[in-house]
Amino acid sequence: MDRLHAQTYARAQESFPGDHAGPRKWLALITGLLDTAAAYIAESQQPGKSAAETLSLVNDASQIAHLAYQLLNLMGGAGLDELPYCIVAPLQRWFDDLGIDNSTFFRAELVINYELRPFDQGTFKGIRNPTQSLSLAINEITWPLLRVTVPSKAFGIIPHFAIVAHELGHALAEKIVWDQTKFASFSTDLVNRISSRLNMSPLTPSVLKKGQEVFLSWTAELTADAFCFFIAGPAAFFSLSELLAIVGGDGLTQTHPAAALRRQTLFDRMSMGSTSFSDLFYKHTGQVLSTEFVSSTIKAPPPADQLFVQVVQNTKDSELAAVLTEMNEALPSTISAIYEHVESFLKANYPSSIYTPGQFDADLNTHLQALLSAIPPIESGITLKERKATTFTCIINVGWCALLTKLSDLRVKIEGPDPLNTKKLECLHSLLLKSVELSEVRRTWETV
Amino acid sequence: MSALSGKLIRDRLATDDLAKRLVISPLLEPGEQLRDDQASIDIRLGFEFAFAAPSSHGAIDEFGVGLDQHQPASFQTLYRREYVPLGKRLVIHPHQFILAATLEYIRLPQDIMGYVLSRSTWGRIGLIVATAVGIQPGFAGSLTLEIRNLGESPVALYPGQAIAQLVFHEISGGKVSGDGLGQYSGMTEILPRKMSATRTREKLQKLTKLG
Repeated sequence: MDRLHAQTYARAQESFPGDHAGPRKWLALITGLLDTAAAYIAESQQPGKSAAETLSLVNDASQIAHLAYQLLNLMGGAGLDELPYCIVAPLQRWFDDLGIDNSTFFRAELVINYELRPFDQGTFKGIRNPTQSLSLAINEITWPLLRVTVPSKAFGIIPHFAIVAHELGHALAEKIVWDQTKFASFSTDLVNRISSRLNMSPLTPSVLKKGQEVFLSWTAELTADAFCFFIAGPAAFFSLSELLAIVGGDGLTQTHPAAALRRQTLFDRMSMGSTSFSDLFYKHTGQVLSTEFVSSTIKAPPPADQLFVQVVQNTKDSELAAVLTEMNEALPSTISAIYEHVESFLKANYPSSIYTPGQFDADLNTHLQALLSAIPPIESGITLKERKATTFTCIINVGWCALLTKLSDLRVKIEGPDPLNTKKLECLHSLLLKSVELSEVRRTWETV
Repeated sequence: MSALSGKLIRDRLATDDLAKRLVISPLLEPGEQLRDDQASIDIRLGFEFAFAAPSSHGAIDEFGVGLDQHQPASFQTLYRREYVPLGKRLVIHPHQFILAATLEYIRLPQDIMGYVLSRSTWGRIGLIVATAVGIQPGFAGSLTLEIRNLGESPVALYPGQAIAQLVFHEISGGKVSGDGLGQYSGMTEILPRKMSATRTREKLQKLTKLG
């Protein structure tokens, strides 16, 4: 326990990206747990304790210390070595601007994965006789605490961080009041399809339960995609498509709908409206957007009958296979309802969080050519006095357009051959990171 | 050689013409940093610092075994880095040498060159800023300032403090030839990358081996 205390103290002396409060709250929780465990040990040594009481206290102390050890491990990657200092503040602002007031901390991991993991207070509430330090630490946190994980190092590329808006969507989804009537015909259709596939009527509770679980998981992902799209704009399409392509396969699992469906949905939204994101992308880059633009390796699932056989072979569960197969067939009919709910929710509650085609147009007008001339999108505005910090959404969208279509035009000095523009990519990343850092500085300065 | 006036610097900062635009961004207090009655603009201390660190290298030797110029990362071993955010400070002790990035991102068009000048206030307390004072046309990136405390007292440095000033000159004849992209264009790395230009390095390397 002393070693744990020392390690926790050492971590508390570190600087954390963005000087963010989250890691310190987490460390205070660990310290509180260790203090409480130490108090148990001290109590066990009081005169007059029976052997059973002593053993019980020592056991409890051991369990609490073990929990502290786990919590210390869970904040791996939260330091400056893994996460750029400047990236945390804009990501936290997304949370703040969308009314998510839970305590958070951000960390990066050497895995191509974005994750939002909630931690409930329940684990800590049951601890008997907490020390004051533990009680204070628990009260300092707005529960559930949310841990946001992003990739580190090579995959910690700024424009990809649009996917954090997808994770935000998971946190926001529970605030939506769903109009169930919009999904009534889908439910009927799905039940009929599964009945027909299994030759079973009525469906057993087991099948219905599996159907409900898969439906909730898949719609949660599509809802989070919808939030990502409305908040991050085209960057959502590019980032999610590329991530799905990197993950590989058709993406269809019990928890996630097919990658091709998610990508197609996002692409369809890109092309909607009198002046769509796709139109504007063409206007500024000269390139016609297609579904496969950044994700040609995404595979579509096989036709329904083949998919059913494949899932049965893999899972030995024909009920689950029927659910996945028919859900994949029926789900597209619900997507517009999901997007309508998300859009209505944002318009009613956080209208300024929606990234519009008009904003995309303005951002590309101001910053795309400038970025190619090595002028990072730090500020917008004509005169020096009018200049304002650019938004993170602006930076990632301009970044994606430059990255996908104009990398070879980036006017920076490159030494040696660069046939695949990898050195220019590194330079672009450096410019975008600088944009995030300095726009944040500008914003901070204005708030003082 | 004439220097750009405060008004001309302002015009260059605001022009729509990307080829002519001078970029010094962000200008946190334009009224303080750029005045029409002066011919310079103040720049601020940034967040990235590098200190000479103890190492196994006998000397910084471009052609020696201790520092292979073909491996730019070797410079990494000579420095310890520190990131100091706004609101925090860093103390530079007497006779200590550090590298520090400017807060502002700077890009010069191809028809302008600049000089970094120390501010007299810092000079009077013994802090010497920027020994590599020239900024070539086409430079783009954060400037790396070489700072040494020649005074007798430790000095606390806060990111955001005005640390130096830039003076600009137009290039006679319009602009430099070639692509106008200097050695550090577009880079924001503060550590040095190479000491000699390619041909000089190759020839000196051959001579070193012969010698």
